[in-house]
Amino acid sequence: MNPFFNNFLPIFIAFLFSFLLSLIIFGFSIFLAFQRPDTDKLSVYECGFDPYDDARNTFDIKFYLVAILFVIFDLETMFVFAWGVSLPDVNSNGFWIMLDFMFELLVGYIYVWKTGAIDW
Amino acid sequence: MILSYTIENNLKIIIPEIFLFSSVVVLLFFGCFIGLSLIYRYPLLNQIISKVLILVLIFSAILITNNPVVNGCCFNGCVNVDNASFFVKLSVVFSSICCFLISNNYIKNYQINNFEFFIVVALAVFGLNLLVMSCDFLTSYIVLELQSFCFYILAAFKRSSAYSTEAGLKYFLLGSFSSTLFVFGVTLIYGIFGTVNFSLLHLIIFENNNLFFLDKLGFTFIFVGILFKLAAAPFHIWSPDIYEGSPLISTIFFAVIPKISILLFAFRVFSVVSDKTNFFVSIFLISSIFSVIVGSLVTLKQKRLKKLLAYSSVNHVGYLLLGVSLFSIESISSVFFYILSYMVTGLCVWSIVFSLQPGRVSNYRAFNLVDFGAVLKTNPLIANVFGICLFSMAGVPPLVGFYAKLNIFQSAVNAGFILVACFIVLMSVVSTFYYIRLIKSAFFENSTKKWFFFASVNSAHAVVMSITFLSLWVLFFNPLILDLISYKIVLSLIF
Repeated sequence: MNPFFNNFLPIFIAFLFSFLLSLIIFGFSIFLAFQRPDTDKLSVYECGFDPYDDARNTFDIKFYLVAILFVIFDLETMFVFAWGVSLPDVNSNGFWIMLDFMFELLVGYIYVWKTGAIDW
Repeated sequence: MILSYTIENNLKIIIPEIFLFSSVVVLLFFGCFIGLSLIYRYPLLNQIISKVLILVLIFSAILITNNPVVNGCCFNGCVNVDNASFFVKLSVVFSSICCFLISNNYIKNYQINNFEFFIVVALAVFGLNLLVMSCDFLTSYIVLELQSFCFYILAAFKRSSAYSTEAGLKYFLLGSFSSTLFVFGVTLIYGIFGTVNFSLLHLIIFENNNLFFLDKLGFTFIFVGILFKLAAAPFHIWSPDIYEGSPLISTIFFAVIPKISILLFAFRVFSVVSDKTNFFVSIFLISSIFSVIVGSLVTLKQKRLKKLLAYSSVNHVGYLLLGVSLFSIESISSVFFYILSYMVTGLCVWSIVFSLQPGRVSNYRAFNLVDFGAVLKTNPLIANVFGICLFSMAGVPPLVGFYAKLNIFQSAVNAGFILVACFIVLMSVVSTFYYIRLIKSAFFENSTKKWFFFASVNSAHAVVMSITFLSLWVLFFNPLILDLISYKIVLSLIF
């Protein structure tokens, strides 16, 4: 096989495995679970407004703000995992850079808190 | 571009940026705890923050000039410093200081009370400074995003105005789309070559005999992303709307500052592939011809001042890209000569546009060209300065714009692109028309019955205006400074 594709083989296997796993989970939830649908369960879940309503109505922006802030502070965990795994390989430089990143995230958190973006 | 540097990790290189960023963080804390506190009754901090940031920028300019490392790399070759980045960083810092000085009056008159404004601008300057130094596709992508995000926020800063929010949304959607193209090109490059470092890529491409289809595709996507950020012609559609919609104070920041550092970044990417194929030369050449055509012809129909200036900047980008596509020593130096003189002229023009704020009207409407009849009557000095500035933009001899254009055309002729040079000269004749039409409406039209009462110009603003105006003349009679700077930039880019 071409060495170019050989490098990507583990990724392909992981892709296949995740695809199969998600199929299995979805399939079992269809076949094994008891299903008792009603209108509230079947309605589309949307943040604070009816999705099939007039699009020009005002709607509450708080949900979106919280979602965006969640994305910011959630992505940070992704960096932390990678950093934690490779901590033996990075020297003190890498350690302190991560702490610096954490500090800047803290600054952003304090800014968000003080400006009242997470007040409900 | 020298590989032996990539092992070094010299943190002294980015001390100016560390200083800039940490002072921004301190100012953010200051704004959070003082500006939003009930005890101090929510004081307005923008004036103070802008003054402190001017000081911070001056200090970071001192740190840049006194940096002990002239050539070097840091973070495994992600960030490198050389003469090119030195001068471009200095010009970015100084032009942003000028913008800060100009915009002080506007903040008071138009009540931009959120303390974040100048902090966001300083973050954009931080991003641009890092973009100049980045020698790695990942670093440059992140830094490009940093400066673009700051500019999206600036475009949408006047939240109560529908125009401003529309401009911000448009800028965000189109800018993120272009970033997607850029990052897609980077993934292709990484998949093929296995590295994103410029110097390693240069070595690999230099060893190979030919570039294949996917390589070309990847670099094409990257160049399209860069051309989008520069607002060059097939990708220019966003710029006039955003210039028009966003508040004047934000327009000046993304009209004057970012072009030079994105251009240097384009040079760095271009030097990776330049000696292998003519394909990329043709991309830049086509884009340049398109931008000159659009910038000359579409501007003739514009009736709003900000849109006219946006299209004229598309026109100027066309001349710049002509120099980029030639990629000889002469042409690169002429490009940097052009962009530096364009920054000076742009500062002068925008500071004049700033000084023409109506004194008592609360909701700002962008200027129509017809209204310029009133400028000569109310403030003849500013009208004269404005006329001379426009002459410099058009390239009329005793001003610096003439030399800049002449250099570009000369380098095009010397490289053998005679037909292209002739065409672009003819188009620049067309583009002279609308500058002179602006002068005509300012000086020779008395049809308007309206009288404008302009707000008075404060001293810092006047200083910026007069210095840039005088340098238009001085740089024509003694262009040695710009010449030397641009040749130093070229030397560090090519060798």
